[in-house]
Amino acid sequence: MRLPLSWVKDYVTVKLPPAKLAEQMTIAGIGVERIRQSVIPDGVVVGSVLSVAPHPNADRLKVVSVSLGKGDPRQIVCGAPNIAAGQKVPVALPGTKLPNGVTIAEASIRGVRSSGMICAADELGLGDDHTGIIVLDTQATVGQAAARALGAGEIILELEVTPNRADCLSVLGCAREIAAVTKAKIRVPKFDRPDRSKLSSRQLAVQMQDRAACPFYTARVIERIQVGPSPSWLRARLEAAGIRPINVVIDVTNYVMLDVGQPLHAFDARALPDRKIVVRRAKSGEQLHALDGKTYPLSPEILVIASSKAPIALAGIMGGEASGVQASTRDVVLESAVFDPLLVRKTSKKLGLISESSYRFERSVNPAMTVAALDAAATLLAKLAGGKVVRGRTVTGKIPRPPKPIALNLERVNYLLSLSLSSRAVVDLLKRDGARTSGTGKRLRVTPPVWRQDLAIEEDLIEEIGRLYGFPDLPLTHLMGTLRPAPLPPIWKLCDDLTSILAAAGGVELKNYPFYDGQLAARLALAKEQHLTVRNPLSREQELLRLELAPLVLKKAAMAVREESVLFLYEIGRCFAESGGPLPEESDHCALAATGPDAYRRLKGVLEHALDALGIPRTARSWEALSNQYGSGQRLLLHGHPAGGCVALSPARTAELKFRENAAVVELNLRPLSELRQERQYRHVIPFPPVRRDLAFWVPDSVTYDQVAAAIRGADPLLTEVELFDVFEKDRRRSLALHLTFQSPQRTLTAHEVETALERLREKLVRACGASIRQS
Amino acid sequence: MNFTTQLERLAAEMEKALQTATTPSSLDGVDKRYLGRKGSITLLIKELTKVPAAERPKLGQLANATKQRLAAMVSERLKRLSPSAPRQFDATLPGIRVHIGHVHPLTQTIRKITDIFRSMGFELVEGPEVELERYNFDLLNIPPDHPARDLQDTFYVGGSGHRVLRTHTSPVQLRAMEHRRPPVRLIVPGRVYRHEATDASHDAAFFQCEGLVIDKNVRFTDLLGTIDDFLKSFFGSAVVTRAQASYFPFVEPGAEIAMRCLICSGKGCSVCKQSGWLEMMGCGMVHPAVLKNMKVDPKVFSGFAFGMGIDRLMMLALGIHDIRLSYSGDLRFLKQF
Repeated sequence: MRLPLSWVKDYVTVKLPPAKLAEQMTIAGIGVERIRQSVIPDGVVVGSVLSVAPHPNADRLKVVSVSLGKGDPRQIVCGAPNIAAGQKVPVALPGTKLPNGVTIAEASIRGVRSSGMICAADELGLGDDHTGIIVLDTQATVGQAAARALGAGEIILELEVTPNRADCLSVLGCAREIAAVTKAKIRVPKFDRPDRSKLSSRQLAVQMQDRAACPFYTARVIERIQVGPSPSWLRARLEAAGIRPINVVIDVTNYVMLDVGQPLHAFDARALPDRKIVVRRAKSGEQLHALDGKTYPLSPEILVIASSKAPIALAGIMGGEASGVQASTRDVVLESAVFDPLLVRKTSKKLGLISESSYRFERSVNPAMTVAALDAAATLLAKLAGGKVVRGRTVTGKIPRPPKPIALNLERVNYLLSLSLSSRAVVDLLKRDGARTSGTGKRLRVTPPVWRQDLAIEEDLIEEIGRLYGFPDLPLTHLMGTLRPAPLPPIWKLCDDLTSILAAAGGVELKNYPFYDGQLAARLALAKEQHLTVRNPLSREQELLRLELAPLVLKKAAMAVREESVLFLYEIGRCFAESGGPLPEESDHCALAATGPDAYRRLKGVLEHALDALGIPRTARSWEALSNQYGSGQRLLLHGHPAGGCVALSPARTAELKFRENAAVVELNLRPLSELRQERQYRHVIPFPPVRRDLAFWVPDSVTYDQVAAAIRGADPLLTEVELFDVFEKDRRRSLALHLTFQSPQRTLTAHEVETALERLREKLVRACGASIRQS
Repeated sequence: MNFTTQLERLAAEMEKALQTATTPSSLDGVDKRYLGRKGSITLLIKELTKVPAAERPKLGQLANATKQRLAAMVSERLKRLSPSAPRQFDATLPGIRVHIGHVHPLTQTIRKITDIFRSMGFELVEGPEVELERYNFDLLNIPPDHPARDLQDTFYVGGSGHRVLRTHTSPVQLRAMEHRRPPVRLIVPGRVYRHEATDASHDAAFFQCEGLVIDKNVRFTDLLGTIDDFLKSFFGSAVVTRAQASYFPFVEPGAEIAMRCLICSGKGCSVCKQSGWLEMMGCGMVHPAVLKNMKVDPKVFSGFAFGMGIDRLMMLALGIHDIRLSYSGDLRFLKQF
């Protein structure tokens, strides 16, 4: 909502400077997002358009001759479609710096001399409109600075009106709010009321077919008007409020809507040949060509205003083009009604059509204004368009009843706000809002003003009392209460611990968006059907909810590897899969990606270290061969159930992701981990010294380390630790070098014992693995 | 040139030569060249015989002292250069850095926030990110076809049922209250989704931390005090907060907590859009309708709720200007934290 301060001052005296007013309004709940103030430079003067001729070298440009009073007329090249001889227009003279930053200079435009510029609203900082030049009031004095004629100096507050405060979608409503907040007095305007009688049904008959959807409908007929432009004061106000003036009829309906908040609509009476209006549900198959130039298919969920033949308006949203006011219109039917907010919203959503009218109706309008707005608009229209208001108005239905009184417990007010307000003080605060109160002492009955339909329960009133007292002036207090231990959810703790473990291991943590595009999934051979889809993605990257973290972690690794060739990245986050239940299955995953030498073994090492550090017992862990869409490696099993895998990226995937280095990836579902975590138990330190020996040998490359380890394990009871410290390949053979630790819990080992054990191991390796021992 | 000057010049020359000699043998050469039997200083001292007898003792003393000093320097240098001598230790060499990784600044911010609230007795709970519309909206007093739904543009999830990507972490409060009774103090950190075009300060997915307190006698001013305490703990004790009235369908009274702009100290700058204040979070007293949906009697209990954008807190605390940097995977960003 754009609120021109000069307009609101019609109804309330504003003493505060605009910035201060904006701050107070923001604190009280109507946020002021911006204060606009237009300053028109003196170099913009009123010109009178003498003639408009086509530009010899450009179809869209015109050569305009403008009189500035003194001196010869100026020649200006102008592209605006709406320029015409006889208009008074704002002319920026060469040398003038406009509010939009442009400095006007004498120029030659496509070979035609142009000395100055005729301005559109946006060029003067008066709005965003660039559809045509501003046409000034015919009364403007040619040659004078245009500032006055443009209504310059106008200060406009851009308000952020929350959905509950429909009352602030009008100037009068804002005036009430300003009065309440700044303790000023509101001057409610006296609305013209032509008469109170009933309109003859020969003039207009209204047939109401859906009371629930339209509880109240009223209309008047204005005859013999002349449709032309509105006077400049009216146009200036509309423009300041951000609405483009069109013609006097539409401008008047918009003006009254902005003024008091009641949307109105004007029909050309010719669209109602038998002067009959039907308020009904649309029939399937009907359609309406609306004023926005689009044709909308209708259905029975939609309420329409219809002639006896066809719909002429989407009730509360927009009129039809055929029944719209045109230059040739003489008689108009002016409508003011109350429509069901939910129905208006549903229709607006369904048709994707939001108008100033629907925006107000769906937030509900003040029913007390429905008649007043009609009368005011009819009177104003007759005055400005030279017509006559036909005596009487139609009335169908009842104005919805005003809000019910609300019980207010003073003790509760004071307790919740930590205040000690007297009942007198509370009554005074609520009075500023326009509420009436009855009762005394600790229990009051409060009747909210009819325009505050958001006030329905005691808590609403407590907010009013608080905000009018001033939220910033309330004391700050502290919670009191029972404190009990609140352990972290195990999965949260796990994720948090793992984050630290992986960072300590050198990983850089990533956060990715939780969705990716189908193309990436396809490139990684992940079936699109396995994913949860987003029904209304804003971009392709939001198409699928992630099933795994690996795709995006790999994608980011492929990008980052251009910066650093040896990488270790990780992410911990939520993944999604269809479950068959009402909600999908969500589980926290961890993905690791590494590039560079030994990427696979580095990642596997990190994973093993992380599992150790998390306290996942080694006895619960096992590995099996894994070959998946990423490449081949090993799958981690926890008590026999797959929990994830570590994979060296296949050449195909490496190429698809445009990796320059060899890469490996780990994906781990963390959910099964948190149940397996164990606190570490101290193992007694053996008091007898360990003996360390190294052993190096060749095995055929078909023999895996697992086979070697299995052969050694259990080969001798004195062997307590095996550590691989070197590995390389040559001629289809693999050289393995191990640190071996021998130790006995009972005694110090003799050299002979160790040598015997070592010999046994050598024999076992030769026999079981075809090893050939390397002499050291 | 007199004797003293000559001696000093030769001594200086020799000192310089000693410094540049890097092997024992070159050092020996220097020694011989100046102090040896035919060394230049030795020869100079021999010249003393030609000096008048009255000056001789004084000059002799000087000559001897110089000779001794230089000889001491030679042996000192020699010790240094011998292979068994302790190496010269340069303590100014840079330390060898440990290569540890980087925890994402968002994770660090989440930890900071949750640490503060846990220190105030809040329990951390989590919930699903794909939600039923009922939990995300209806039970939070946001009925279908209500304009309040416009406050949060929504992503819908395919498949059967009315499933949405949660627009806030508030539905978790409802889920948490399905198996809790007051008194409760909860915080819910987690990811939320908004169907909005992204720019430097808006993103389609970001993190939020929501809080819920329900107990007997919980006051609106307790809410203000709790948030003030939190923001002071997070940003420092110089923080000034201010409550502004606002509207969220699931609270009443509803408020927005603003904090005096950290960048301009309230004078007005581009970060606070010249207002001098930054809106930090929405909050309010839990709406009686929502309490009822939690099966909590609003006549007996009251409570408050608040919700803040974690990305925004991070951006303000760390001076990050674009919310999307967090999700870029750019190492030049990630390795700063």
